[in-house]
Amino acid sequence: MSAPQRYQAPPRVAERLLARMFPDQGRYSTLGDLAEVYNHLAETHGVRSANAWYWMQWFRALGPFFINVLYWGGIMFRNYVISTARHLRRHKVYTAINVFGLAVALSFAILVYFFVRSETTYDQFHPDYAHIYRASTALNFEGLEYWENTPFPLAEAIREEVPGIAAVARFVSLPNRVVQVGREQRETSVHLASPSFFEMFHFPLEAGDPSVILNDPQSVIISPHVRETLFGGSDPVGADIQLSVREGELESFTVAGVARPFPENSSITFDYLLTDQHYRRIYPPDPATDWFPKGRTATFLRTRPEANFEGITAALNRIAEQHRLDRFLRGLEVPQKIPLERLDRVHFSADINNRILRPNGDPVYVYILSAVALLVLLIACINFMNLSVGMAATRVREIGLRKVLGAVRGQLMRQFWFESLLLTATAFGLGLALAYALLPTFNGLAGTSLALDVTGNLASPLGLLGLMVLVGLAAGTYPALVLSGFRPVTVLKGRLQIGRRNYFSLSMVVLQLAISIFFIASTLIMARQLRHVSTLDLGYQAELLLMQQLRQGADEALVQRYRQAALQHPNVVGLTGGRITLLGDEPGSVLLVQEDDQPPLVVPVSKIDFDFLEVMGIELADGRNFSPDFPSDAHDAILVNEAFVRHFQLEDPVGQPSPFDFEHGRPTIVGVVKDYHFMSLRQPIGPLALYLRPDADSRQVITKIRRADIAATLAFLRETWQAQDTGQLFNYTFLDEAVGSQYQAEQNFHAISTYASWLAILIASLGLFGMTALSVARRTKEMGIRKVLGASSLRILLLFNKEYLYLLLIAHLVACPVAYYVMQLWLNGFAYRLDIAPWLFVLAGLTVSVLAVFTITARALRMAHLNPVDTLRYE
Amino acid sequence: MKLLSRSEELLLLAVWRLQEGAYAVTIREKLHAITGKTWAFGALFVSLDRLVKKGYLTSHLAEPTRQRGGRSKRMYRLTPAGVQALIEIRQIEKAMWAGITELKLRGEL
Repeated sequence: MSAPQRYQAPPRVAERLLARMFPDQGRYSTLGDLAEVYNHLAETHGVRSANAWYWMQWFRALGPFFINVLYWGGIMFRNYVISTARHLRRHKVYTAINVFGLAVALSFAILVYFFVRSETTYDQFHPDYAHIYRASTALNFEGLEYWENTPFPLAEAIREEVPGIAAVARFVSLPNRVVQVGREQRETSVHLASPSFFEMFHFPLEAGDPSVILNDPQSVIISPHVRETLFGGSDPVGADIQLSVREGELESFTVAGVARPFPENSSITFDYLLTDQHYRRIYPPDPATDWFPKGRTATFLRTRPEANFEGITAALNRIAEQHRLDRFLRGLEVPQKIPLERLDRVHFSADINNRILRPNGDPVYVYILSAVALLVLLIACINFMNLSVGMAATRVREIGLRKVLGAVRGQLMRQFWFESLLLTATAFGLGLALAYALLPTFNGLAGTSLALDVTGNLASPLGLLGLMVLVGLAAGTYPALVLSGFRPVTVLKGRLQIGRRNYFSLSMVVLQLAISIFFIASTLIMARQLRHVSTLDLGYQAELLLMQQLRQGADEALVQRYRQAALQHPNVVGLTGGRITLLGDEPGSVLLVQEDDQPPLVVPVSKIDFDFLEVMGIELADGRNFSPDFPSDAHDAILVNEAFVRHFQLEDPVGQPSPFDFEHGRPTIVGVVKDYHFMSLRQPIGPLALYLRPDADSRQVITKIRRADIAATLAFLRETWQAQDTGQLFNYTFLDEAVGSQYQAEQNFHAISTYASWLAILIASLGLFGMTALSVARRTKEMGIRKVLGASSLRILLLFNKEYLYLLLIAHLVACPVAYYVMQLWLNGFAYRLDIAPWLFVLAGLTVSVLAVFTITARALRMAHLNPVDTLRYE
Repeated sequence: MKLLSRSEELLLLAVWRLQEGAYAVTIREKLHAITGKTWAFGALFVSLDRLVKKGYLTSHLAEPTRQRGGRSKRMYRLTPAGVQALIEIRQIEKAMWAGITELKLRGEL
């Protein structure tokens, strides 16, 4: 062949690909041969056909190459499966501990995964969610900004004045309406929406045309839940429903549509949906109050994709300025705003308590729950690592032989990864089944109604698969690294030192124990704090007090009639009406006190009756209660609480005039009541003023009953109330229950973390059990000799326990500061908090220690009782 | 001893003819020139490896050259065993062909 002038390299990619197919990766002279022919062809036939030839070489090699890979790969795979199966069958305890521990941890992780998916994908099922925004009203109160719902006319204003908007929709909530189907009455919320509602949101209907219905004042769309409860299986379309859109006035509507079930992660839900034309029938246009921002109207807008967001915000804020949204806060000169939040962020919005959409989620709980699930998984993974490495003694010969036969490290690692993935997959299947079984419990604990629908929109199969693979790799990597690292010569000569102290394994055990101690300490602290707040002295007798919230109000005469009728019953102790600030809900009214160079102070006010203190069981600290004997009490007297006296630094307050103006001058303080909790228990008790309800309508009726035969008393009260013909249903809450429900989120969280800590301990104990089993097996002969030389059984038990007692001590030292810090953060959310008691940490440490010692002893006991003859003779 | 296959025989003969210059590229050219058929490199590498394993050929790496992108050639040479195998197959062929001419084979004689 003639010597070419210049070397021409074959296509690089093709050369690389081709090299991969040679058993020796092309280090052999083969690639050179091909390059030579390529050069020759390039000279004689041109580069193009030489390239084509070269690529052809690669292409033709593909078939045989893959057949080769599959053939030999298949043989190796079969071998892995067989040796894994043998290994697992030979060590049943080890397998059971690993699979069971992982399954339990995974079932918890799967539940948390669904919960987190649900929380973090709120409202993303609307195709346009990235362009939909909720508008709010930002009220600026002396630098303290808080957000409220939007005024009803805002939607029209946006449609007319804001550029770049594709659609605007209103969603109005009307609470405490009466619905009647047939003869049955119940109380419910009714929602109103503008016709564009169904264009903007993806709520398909099972029946009916949404755009038509929302233009027809006589039509109503019901939820599948309502169809189920009110109509059973029958088709409700065309049926007649009576609703009180205006309070106390039933009107007829025709069911024109049924919604499909709402996704679990929908902020918007409704039972009865009407057109928002009805709003003006309830609240006729009134320039003075129309723009009051405290309504129950939510305004949503969809921007055009190309719209300029800054332009929209600016136009919205202009509307806010124009209508002086802040004028209701006594003329404060601050910039006024209508902020927007994207639909998928609304669920985690912390700034608004809107009472229209589903209650907001708390991202902190999402983070914490994920962290807890990961920690539990970590404990299970550590079991897997430690036991696999600990079991190495039984496998070194297999590994050594594989190496001698030419297995490279990568192949061995792949084998061990495969093993851990196989175990994880088994555990995952079990975990999924367990998760299904535990779902109702979890829903009860978390206050959710999740469904573990693996095909539903919450489950991303990829995510679950990813979780499984991640766990498998996390658990399998360390054993794979260690086991594949043995030198075959030392292994086969039997010189490998196995069972010497492995500091990695030991520190992993410390980590497990520390996590367990951390969980238990935290749970104990939480339990103690929650017990503390539930037994907190409220300052009044919440037991057997029932409160009726009256949306419409009731005048003096009505309350007096009801009171007299109710007190006929022997088990009704007292009854009082008023506008009462209680539970932080719907303050009776608020008084702003301007002080020199200080932010204005909000002083809640309750307007009460003479018998309020008596019915509630509130005690007087000083002075006297209101009394009919003092006619001046009606306009010139107030009661204050002790916090009020402290705050305004009054000395001998009784008989003095109030330190600031009320509606009519400065009334005289006639008495001081002892502090009682009238706001949320999260807040400390602040100043409070009570004055006599002269002419105002009552918003609440509070009744004290006796414990005897409560059901009959309630039935009597219901009858008596309905006899007053007020048009309002008899709805009540027991005050002690209402107080308890303020800590619902914390109670739920505590329940979940209690479960998590038991899971953690269970799995960690399993691991300890396995580790002890290993070290027992390893030290059989040593123990035999010790016994022959006179060691007692107790001595041997101590020997095994001693190792772990050091670890427990270290774990305790690690866990306590962390638990202390984290719990301080949690406790900061409480106004009435207990300090963290040191003995709780001792208790947590002791709990884990006792369990650990128990586990270890259980396994080591058999060894301690063995006859040394049996253990020593086997050689 | 097993008999050589036809392709092995052709390969060994090509190596013998090329003497000092026998490596995959030249062997392939030689085979193409004489038989008129194109041999795939894959087939060539596998067969050459097999012959080396059987002991009919030895191989060594020669100096790298420029037109191979700096890679060395793997040169092949016949071993005495290879020569022996060729002689043996040649004798067997001769014996089998003895007295048979092309005309006889065609049945024309």
